Amino acid sequence: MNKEQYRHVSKSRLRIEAHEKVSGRATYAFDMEMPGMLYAKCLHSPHAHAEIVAIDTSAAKALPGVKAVLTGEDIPYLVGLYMVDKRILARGKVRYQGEAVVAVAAVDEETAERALTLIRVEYKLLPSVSTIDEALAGKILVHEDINELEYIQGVFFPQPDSNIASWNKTSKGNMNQGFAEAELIVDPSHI
Amino acid sequence: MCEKHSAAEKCFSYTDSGLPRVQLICVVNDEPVIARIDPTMTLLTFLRKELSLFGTKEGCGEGECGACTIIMNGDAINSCIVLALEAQGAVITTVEGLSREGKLSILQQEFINHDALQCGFCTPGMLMSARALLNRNPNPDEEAIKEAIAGNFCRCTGYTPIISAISSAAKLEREERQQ
Repeated sequence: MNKEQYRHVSKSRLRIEAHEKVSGRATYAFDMEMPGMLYAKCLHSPHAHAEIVAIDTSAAKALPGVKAVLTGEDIPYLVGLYMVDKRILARGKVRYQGEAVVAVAAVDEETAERALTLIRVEYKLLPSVSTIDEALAGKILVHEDINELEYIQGVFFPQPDSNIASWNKTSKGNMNQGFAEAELIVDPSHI
Repeated sequence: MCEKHSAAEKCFSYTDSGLPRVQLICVVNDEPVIARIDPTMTLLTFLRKELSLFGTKEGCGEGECGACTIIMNGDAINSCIVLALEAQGAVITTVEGLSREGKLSILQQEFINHDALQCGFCTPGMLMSARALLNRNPNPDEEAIKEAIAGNFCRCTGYTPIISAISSAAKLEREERQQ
């Protein structure tokens, strides 16, 4: 094949939009304002594992400029690609520190932020899992409903009554021999 | 985008704290600026919403990611965690101040030549950290460059082309100065 016949193949090209990006002229979603645009903010869980006892959003909803306040009760379903296990907003309990619990949409960012400060969430703390060993021990289940969750069979292998979302076995070569011949063995378990 | 925005008018909403406005005088990209502002406004918000300098970005809003980096009185700073009022009397440069009359600076051109950007969201901050470095050290080694951009996160290009771009810009700027 004659490379000369191609205009682009095997030739270096400068990024076509680079000029506007290095000059600060490039417009991102963050730089845009659409007519009637609202600003959303989420209230996040301060706890790694806790039951949501009650959420009071009445003061936030009453704040002028607030257009919508959603909790997990408004979104009673799960999403996920290989395994349908994720909540859009926490419902019933929170499973990690930082999980979104309430979402607010308001006329501007500051109002949305102010509305978040008016929301009261009552949590009942649950014992949390914070190391891989604790997770493998499975005494505390992050997804207590793991046995009922939908997943793509043959691709994903959740282990019943455990914190293991998928168990994949790969066998290739001889690991013991590899370690024996290795010049340097790095054990990252302490990192 | 709304029509007001394209006409470079102030269309972005900002909720005032209600505190008495205070006068701010500073120099931004060689232009004197006098404004009466809400004292709780951050410098980033001031640059974007009051001066319509949208090149400076907000990533995290808490001084972690460096997308909002500008140069204030010679230092690279995170404009998201500095109050606009702290810029009283300051000399400020933003990404818009790097090019002259539409012509890119050597540093900006080297970012393009080394393919040191992809999405470009970190690029303005990256450029400003690099500019502040080259202003105080025209001949930085790789470690000095790494340290200068240690506060700027890039999540797509990777740092290697960025370091090469800054290094190459330093060399070209030194050559230009010698001529």
